Amino acid sequence: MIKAFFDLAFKFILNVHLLLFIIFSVFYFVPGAYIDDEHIVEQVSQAAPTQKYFFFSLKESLVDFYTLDFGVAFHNKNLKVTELIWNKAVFSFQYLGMSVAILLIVSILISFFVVRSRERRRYLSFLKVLNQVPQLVMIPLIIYLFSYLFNLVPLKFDPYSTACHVFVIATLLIKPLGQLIQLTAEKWHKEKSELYVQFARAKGLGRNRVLIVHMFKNIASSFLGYFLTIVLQLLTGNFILESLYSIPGFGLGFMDSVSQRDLPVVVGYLFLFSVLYLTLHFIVQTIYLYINPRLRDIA
Amino acid sequence: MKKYIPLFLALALCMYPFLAHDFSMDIDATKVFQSPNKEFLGGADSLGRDLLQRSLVGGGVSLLICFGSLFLTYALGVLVGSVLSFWNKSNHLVIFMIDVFDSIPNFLLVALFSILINRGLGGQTSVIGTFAALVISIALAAWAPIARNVRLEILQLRGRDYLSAAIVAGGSPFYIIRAHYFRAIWPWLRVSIVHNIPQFLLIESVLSFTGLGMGSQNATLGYLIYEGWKNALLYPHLFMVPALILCVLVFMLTISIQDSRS
Repeated sequence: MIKAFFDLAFKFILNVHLLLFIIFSVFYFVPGAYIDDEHIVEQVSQAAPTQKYFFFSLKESLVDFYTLDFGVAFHNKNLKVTELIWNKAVFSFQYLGMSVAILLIVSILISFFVVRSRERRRYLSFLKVLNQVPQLVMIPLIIYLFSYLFNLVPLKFDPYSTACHVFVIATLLIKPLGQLIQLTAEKWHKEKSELYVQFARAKGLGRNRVLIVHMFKNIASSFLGYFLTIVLQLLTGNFILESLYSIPGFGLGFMDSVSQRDLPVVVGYLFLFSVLYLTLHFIVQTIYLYINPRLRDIA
Repeated sequence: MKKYIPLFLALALCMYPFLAHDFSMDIDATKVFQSPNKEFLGGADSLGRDLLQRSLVGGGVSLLICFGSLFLTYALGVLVGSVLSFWNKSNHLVIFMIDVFDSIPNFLLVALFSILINRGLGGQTSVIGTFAALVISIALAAWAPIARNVRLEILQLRGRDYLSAAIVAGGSPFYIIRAHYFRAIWPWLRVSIVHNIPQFLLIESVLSFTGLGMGSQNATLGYLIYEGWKNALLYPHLFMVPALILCVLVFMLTISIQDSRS
């Protein structure tokens, strides 16, 4: 178990290094090539260090590499990119963390009720249709309906309004929740035909007990696999929602930096998202090890 | 054959930008922000352009990028996977690299590669340059799982009797690859390609939504939705028409891949 865990940790560290290498190669191999606006060129010449090429000063690059120093933003030379991103990320993490927790609990509960329900087929076919709608369409439509048409929530995000926070979390969760419930319920339903389930039922055990005690352990690894992919969708949804509903988090920050062609900030954001995903991947893999004894043996 | 009709329709829509690009960009100051009517079925945008035409052209461009990147991704994946399967010493290092590429989210890799290939965020100005940069960046981000699966599929075929017989009978390497290996991996390849079409379309749409796409002159669906949202309070059709086209495209392509027996 410990050897397998260290294996995973080693892989995680290597992944982060490869990512850093790709990102810093973007940073050092194409310095200044993206600028075609004279005003920005003038600003950059004042703000960015003149010789910051990878081959010319390896020592400086390595220090930047390990201190995660992405330099200063093009449009505000007093602002460090790492600080800027961290401030915005803290804001987004508040409701993203809450959304992930709700997703985890609610999806299990609802899929349990869907599996138990007699209307299971109807619910699943509804979820199938719902899941075909892309987030890029669903999020603007929900904001338009609830904010513009029915005026249930303010037109733009208000950090002091509870309704706004609830609305944001609900909008973020609709599509990922639908997908997770559909996948989990289908997996649960497939597991019903297994021999051990029929044997447990034949012994006289109750339906709920078989579903929770016997079957859930076996579908937990698949559930975690789905969960990781779907949390990633939550991040993509966050981009779209923040830019459309003017939420001052990292999604809007990323969009702004792309439109302002502020490369250090864009690269910093990409690094943040990737590390977030890698960390989630690492956590899920560790939980897999705990749940699935076969993985431990192989490792 | 019937279930591939949506796929053929999507291929036909790819040709639409070449036919109607200029027509869809006609500016008319008297028809600015017109709601959907008999003349303009999708309404008009902020410069009086026909929004339905623009959305269809945008859909075509999106699909062109999607098919282009699919072709390049699978060409790269099959090539790398088949080379790896015949090279025993590749196992550890290259498979590790594939794992690493697989563990970084696709969208982020595409964004990074598109910055790198475009030499920054606004580097390329020509249409073909931007198109090629997008296609190459999507392909570079998505080849890894395909290469791994192709390698596994080919490794499974190793040591089969009919392959040994073909070699003994004097079949040329080209004949053996075409008649045996390619034919064996084709079922998996076909299913995988068709499954990936909606995924690639959505990746392209989100990319153009964030501003890393083709730009305003060759606006794709994601960009049109983003542009339309700016005036959505007064003119909701501006974002709803491209959103509807995107929805229909994804729905159509997904139906064509669903197994009718399930």
